[in-house]
Amino acid sequence: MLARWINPVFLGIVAAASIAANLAMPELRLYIHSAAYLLTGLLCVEIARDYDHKLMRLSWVLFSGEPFSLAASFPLGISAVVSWLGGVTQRDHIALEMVQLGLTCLLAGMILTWWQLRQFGLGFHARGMDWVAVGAILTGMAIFFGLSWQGGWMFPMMAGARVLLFLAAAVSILLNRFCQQMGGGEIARVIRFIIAYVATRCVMNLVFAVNKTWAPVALELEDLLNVVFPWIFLFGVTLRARVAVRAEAELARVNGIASSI
Amino acid sequence: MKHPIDYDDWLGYLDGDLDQIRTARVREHIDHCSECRSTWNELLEATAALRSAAREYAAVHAVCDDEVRSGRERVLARIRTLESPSTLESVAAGELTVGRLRKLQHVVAPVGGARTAFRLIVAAAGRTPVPQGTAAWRIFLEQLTDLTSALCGRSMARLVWEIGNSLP
Amino acid sequence: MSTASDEKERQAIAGFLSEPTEVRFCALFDAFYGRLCRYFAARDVDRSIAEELAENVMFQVYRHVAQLRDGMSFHGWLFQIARNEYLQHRRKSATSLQTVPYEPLAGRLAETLDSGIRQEAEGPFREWMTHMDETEREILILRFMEDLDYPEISHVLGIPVGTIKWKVFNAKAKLAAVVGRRTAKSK
Repeated sequence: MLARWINPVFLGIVAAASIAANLAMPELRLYIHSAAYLLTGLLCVEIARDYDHKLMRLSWVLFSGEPFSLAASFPLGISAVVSWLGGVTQRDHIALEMVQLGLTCLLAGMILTWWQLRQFGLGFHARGMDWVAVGAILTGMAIFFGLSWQGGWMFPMMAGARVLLFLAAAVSILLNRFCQQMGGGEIARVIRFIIAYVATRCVMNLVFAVNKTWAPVALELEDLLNVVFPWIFLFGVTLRARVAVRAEAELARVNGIASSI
Repeated sequence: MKHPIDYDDWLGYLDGDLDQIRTARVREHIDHCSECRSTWNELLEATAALRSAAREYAAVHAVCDDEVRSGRERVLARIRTLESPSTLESVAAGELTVGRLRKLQHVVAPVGGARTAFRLIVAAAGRTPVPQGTAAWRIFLEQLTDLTSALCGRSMARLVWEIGNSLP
Repeated sequence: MSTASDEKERQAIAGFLSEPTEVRFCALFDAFYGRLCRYFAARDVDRSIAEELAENVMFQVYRHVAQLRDGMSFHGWLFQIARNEYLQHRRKSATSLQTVPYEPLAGRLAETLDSGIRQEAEGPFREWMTHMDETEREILILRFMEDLDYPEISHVLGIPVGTIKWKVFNAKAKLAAVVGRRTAKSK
């Protein structure tokens, strides 16, 4: 079990160190992020294996699609092969496709998680205000795209990824409500980390779209968010994976006590 | 004399449940056998007496409309608490004691959340049949384990099962 | 049992099974509460406790109606729950320390007088049951007071139909002797 070897505190230290290193030596960024994404993807698969419930298992398999696709889009991944075969333009195109594929998987995983939590019959339900917020996000998305196209900020090839991020942000509203209704707990914390990951990427994309000549600080903010966001997902996933590790340790303790009686 | 009537025939004949052939056989034998005729008369008298005595007893212990109404109000109050239970006490019954439920709630709450843990227990209790000794606890644990597995994963479900089985 | 109350019960059962709402439950409660109180009273339970047990049974019926499988008799299921409630009550009474609350003498006397009058009005049923064993008593109450058929009684007690019939036959034979003695005495 991979999660047995990962301590969130240790992970925090590594993340902080790598963020600092990333900011100091940007050339290291891609390699460190690749490693973080790979680890995230593997942990997602491990979490999926902990579920017997088919749809919950599928949702975590879908979640793993996001970090795996990001890892694949990096120089060490598939895009490196494509670059060698077809050149830089092909590589950039494939990298973008991988990003979109990852976001599609993330969105699908979030929708499936939301749907299943509703179906469990444990009283999770969205309120009217949540749907208003979802509506506001979708309206905001339409306005953003409208302004982008008009202002010429939007690269058409990035439009797909941005749509997916906005949709993921909308689903986040509903999932956040469920987290509140859970009344705490690791599962709620994990979902909130995923929401934070989506929110960070959304902000990053919005900042990316801002004209840097108007707001130079946006460049620094974008850089900071870029080095931080991979660790958010990894943190959340580690917390969830550790639930299984702790449960097994407790189980061993309970069985040990039972057998000694 | 051979008596071709067994207890099943006697009861069937008394209740009028026998088919034509068996009825005819019993009637014919009674007509020709004084011993069985005597048995038949005794059984008939006993059955009639029992029916009458049961009716008399039932009449004395009848409940009036007021008693029915107040009983109904009390049960409806319990049902309404059940539909929106706020405490484990309103869910506990039979083998599902408050202590046991609370212990399991404390196991699930750190992972699923306090409110989720309560709702899981309520949902599992709702799927447990009428308490019949230790079977009800086992069935409750199975339901709770299924729900926990779907929400929190197999490891947590196994933990809930083991702890549930180890509770006094 | 009269045909009118049979029909009332049938309608209440059908209504509740098709739509387990509070309104339908009230009709079911009205149809069966009295029978359940009477059933517990026949098991020698105090009236107030009989009412409490009957309420418990109806509460369980509301909670667990989904467990009534197709083809299963409602009466058999209902009285199975009732029997389990009674057995649970008996187990608890056997293990717990009985305390008698202080009551003014007049109240106690009135209650004793009332129960004495009731016992006299009950007729010979209670006395006849003392001649039966536990299972025979249960079967006779279900058969003659509650009008359950043999398969339903079999479901309640978990005993094969053949055994039920054998016990009924035996009980009637015992009763025949008791009734015969009673008739002879009265003559």
